[in-house]
Amino acid sequence: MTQPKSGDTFGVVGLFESADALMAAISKVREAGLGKVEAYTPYPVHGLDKALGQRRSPLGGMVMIMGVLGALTAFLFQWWISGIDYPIVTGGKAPTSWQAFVPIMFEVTVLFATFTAGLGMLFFLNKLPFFGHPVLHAKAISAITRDRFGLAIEAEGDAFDVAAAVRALESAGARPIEVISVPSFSGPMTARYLERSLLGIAIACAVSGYATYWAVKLFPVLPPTSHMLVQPRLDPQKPSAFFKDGHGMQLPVPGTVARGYLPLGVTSQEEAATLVNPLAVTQKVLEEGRQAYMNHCVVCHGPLANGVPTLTSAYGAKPANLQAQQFREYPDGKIYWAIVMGKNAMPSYAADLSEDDRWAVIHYLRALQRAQNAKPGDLAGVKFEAGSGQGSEGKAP
Amino acid sequence: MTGSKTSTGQVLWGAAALGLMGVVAAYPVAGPARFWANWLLWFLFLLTIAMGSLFIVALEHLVGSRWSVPLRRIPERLSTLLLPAVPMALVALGALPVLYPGTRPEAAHDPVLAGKAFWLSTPFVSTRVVLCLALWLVGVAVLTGGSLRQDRTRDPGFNVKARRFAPAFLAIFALTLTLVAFDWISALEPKWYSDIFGVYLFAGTFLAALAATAASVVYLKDRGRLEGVRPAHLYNLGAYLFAFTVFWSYIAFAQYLLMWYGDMPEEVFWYKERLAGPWLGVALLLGVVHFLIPFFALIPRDAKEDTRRLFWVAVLMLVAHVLDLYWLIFPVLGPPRLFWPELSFALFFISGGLLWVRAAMERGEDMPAGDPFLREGLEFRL
Amino acid sequence: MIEAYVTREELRRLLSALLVVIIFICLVALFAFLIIPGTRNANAPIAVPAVNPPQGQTGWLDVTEYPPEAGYTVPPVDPKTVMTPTPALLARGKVLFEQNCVACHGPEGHGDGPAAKGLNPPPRNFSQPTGWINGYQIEGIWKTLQEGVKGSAMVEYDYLSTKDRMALVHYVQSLGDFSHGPEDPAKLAALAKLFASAGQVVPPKIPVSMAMAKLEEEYVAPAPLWNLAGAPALARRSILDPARAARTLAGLSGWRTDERSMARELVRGAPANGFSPAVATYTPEQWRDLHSQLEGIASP
Repeated sequence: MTQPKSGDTFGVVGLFESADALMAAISKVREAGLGKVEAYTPYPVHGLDKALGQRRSPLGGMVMIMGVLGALTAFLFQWWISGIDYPIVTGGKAPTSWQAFVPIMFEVTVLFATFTAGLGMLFFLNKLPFFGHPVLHAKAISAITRDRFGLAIEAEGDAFDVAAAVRALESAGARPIEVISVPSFSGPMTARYLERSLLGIAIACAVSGYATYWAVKLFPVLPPTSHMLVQPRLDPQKPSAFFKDGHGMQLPVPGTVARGYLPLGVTSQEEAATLVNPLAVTQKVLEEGRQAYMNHCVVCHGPLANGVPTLTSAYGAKPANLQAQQFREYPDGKIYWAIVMGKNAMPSYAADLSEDDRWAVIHYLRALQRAQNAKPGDLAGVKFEAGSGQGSEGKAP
Repeated sequence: MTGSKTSTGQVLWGAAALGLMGVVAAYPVAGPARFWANWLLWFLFLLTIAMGSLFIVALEHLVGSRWSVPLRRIPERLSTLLLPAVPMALVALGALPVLYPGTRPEAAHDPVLAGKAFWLSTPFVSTRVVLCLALWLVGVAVLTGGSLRQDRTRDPGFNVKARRFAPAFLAIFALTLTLVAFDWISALEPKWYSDIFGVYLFAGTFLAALAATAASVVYLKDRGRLEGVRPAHLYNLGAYLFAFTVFWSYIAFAQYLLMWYGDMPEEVFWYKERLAGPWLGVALLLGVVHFLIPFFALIPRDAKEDTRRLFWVAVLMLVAHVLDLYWLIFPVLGPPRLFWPELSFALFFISGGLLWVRAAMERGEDMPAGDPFLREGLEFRL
Repeated sequence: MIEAYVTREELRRLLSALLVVIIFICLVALFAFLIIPGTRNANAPIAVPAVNPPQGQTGWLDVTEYPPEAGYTVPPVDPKTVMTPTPALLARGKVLFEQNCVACHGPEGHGDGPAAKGLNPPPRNFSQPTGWINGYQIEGIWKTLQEGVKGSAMVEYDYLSTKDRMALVHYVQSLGDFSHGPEDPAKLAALAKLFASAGQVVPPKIPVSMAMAKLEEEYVAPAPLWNLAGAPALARRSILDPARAARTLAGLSGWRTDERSMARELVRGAPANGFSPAVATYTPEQWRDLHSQLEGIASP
């Protein structure tokens, strides 16, 4: 596409009072066949594109295709991440739960569609960046951007004739009529001006970036703000002038025990076996035990205490199956010892579980063991749902 | 012309009579529970169309929209469906002891239901129903009756009065439609909790009324009435329909997603009932006819001005609304049932409703001729 | 039809733009999902097994609320099918080994699994004939699986079925490249007889909430200490929480006859057991007094 030279006639524009007058004039002017007919209006007028004989906009189709692509992209990304690459069970849902994907799919669909609509319209259909449209240099533009409707016959091919175009617009009822010539592109909004501005911005960014980098590097002692982490507080392993020996960390005062840190009265798991669980078996205690179990134990020992963890088994250790005969016969005190002191790969949970929580967890563990190894009498009065429970004989053990 | 008109009327009367026999037979043969479930479905179908139409009219008065003035007479006429809905509602009170667990004596021993016992008790529900009916009749009398009177009096004072009345009525509408959702549908399973359920029913109501309006407008326009209604008006109706299709889907999915994710026993059981076995098929079908088909059918710009397409999409939306109510109500009876009782109810109420609407379409002039904004509405352009 | 919207040239430009977008998305996906995670897991030692979401059987809710299940008996195993390694048994053994043993014994059975580092004594190295506590013959490995090894981290695996345990036995033997014989025919025969004699009993299962209710129902609360207010000062001073103290005493067998063991146990459990931590400082005389006072107020 060759750029028109400065000074050539661009076209003839006439103004109309209303959208209806404009619409009525378009068909007459188009019949004359003098050049490309184009309308300039202060607001979008519906039906104008049809009247001007413009082809139907491809924007809808573009938006549709990109919207579908967005939905597919979002679905496949989530499906891959949640279902295949890093499957984590959240809230007891299967890793590939389509329901959870829908809001993201919706958002990405909208994102792709709006970007396509906006950018496709500006850059593809309106062919931006295009600086200094000749009509912007006409006198008529001040009226067009307020309340008048402009209709232009633009030079295209050899058939264009200025006098004939003026006559055609006049007979269609346009007042006033103006002949527009292609302006010299010396205004501020030229491509070169924009290029220079962008270059200036790039240089400013680079300079300020390097300046900041070196300033921080050379003067690191100047804190930009005072953060909350700067406090007159004694951190672990730090010296302190307050104590005589200069250490921040001190041994407890002889003969005292910190609150909540009473030492354990037993020295081995065998000794601990005789400890008595001081809590009564009540619904409240069992619920507390369940809560503590769900917070601390379930990730490794599993919700049924059978060593099938809720975290992935890429974990390294093999958590104990607490349903085994051995652990069912363990006295409470031995389990208590394992909670306090840890066992094999299991760390101590003394800091996480209070004294009462530990004993409550043990009661709850007994309930879990009973649930998986119930007594035959426990099933008295239980109604089996059809197709469950009773069919166990068929299962492979 | 007149000949074919009479014959259409005769066919409708015949269908209604045939359906009535099935309806009467359904009570002793198919059992009261099934009879009442069917009755409830069709009562709510006609009621929601009437209520939604009234909402469209009141909304237009409230915001002072001009484009819809030439079309306003259609929802006004549709809102007269409320008159047959009044006896239907009173009859439907008979369903209370059959379908609603909250009214049974055992409810007093259930710790959950005992707390709601008074709210769910037959006298209080009946009081609320009668009160709602009275309020809606006032709405019909003021908005529809006033507009029909304006045809004769040409008194612009009606517009002022209607604009003052509309906000009050919309507040009442919001409350009473929520009561409809909770009293008639949600109370079928009174242990279920969903705060958004009123909005869900509102979305379906508004959509059904819009669909009925669009279908009637196209129907009348095809018969040479409603002269002056342009494609731009139809475009707006189509856009409305499109937008509220998405709104309904949004609300429906939002309710489902939150309950699915939250996994609370008092919420999830409702969906487990409605997504298990054959009901899953009904739910999927609902998603297709209530969202997918209308969404893609109405997406192109030209589709919203295409009278054929608009008409069939509107009819499909009405079918989808019936299916929606079916999916909400019938799972309390067990697996989906569709046999002669359902078909006779459908036959009776569809042909009866069409007879009523046909008669209503002759009331007053086709456009609110006395409305001072009618000319402006006819000049409407996009 | 499409010519109504775009010219051929524009269509080409549009399609190439679409191609650029799709290639960009694919590149992002390639880097984000394959290349970057690939570098992250380059030296991962153990293959990640598939995750089974712990969904409940009755709903989407609570895993512990499965429906009750009646107990049953697994029919006795035919010894002929398990006494000698078959490919099917070895394959089953490999699966079980990877689920249960790899963490400590390592993927090759060298006793070098990731969890082995903190264990004392260390896990057995299956590739060497030395150090097997119960011997490396079939009945020895069976015994280890059945009873565990006391004083080590090896626990019982009696919850695996007979056939599964025998599969593990054969698989463990296959990991050592040395002669595992000779077997003791008498012991083998005893084992075979054991397999053929009785099936394994699988107990019934009840939901955990039901088990909790059962435990609460079966729990017999000990009678409270009577007349604590009228007890001597030493007893009153020693008991912080009468309810707990009552439960502790009810749980201590033989405290009435053995004053010294009572003292030891009370000191060990204080203060959670309801007794004051100060009991740790009591003299033998004070213990004697306390013992007689507790006998007075504790219900028999």
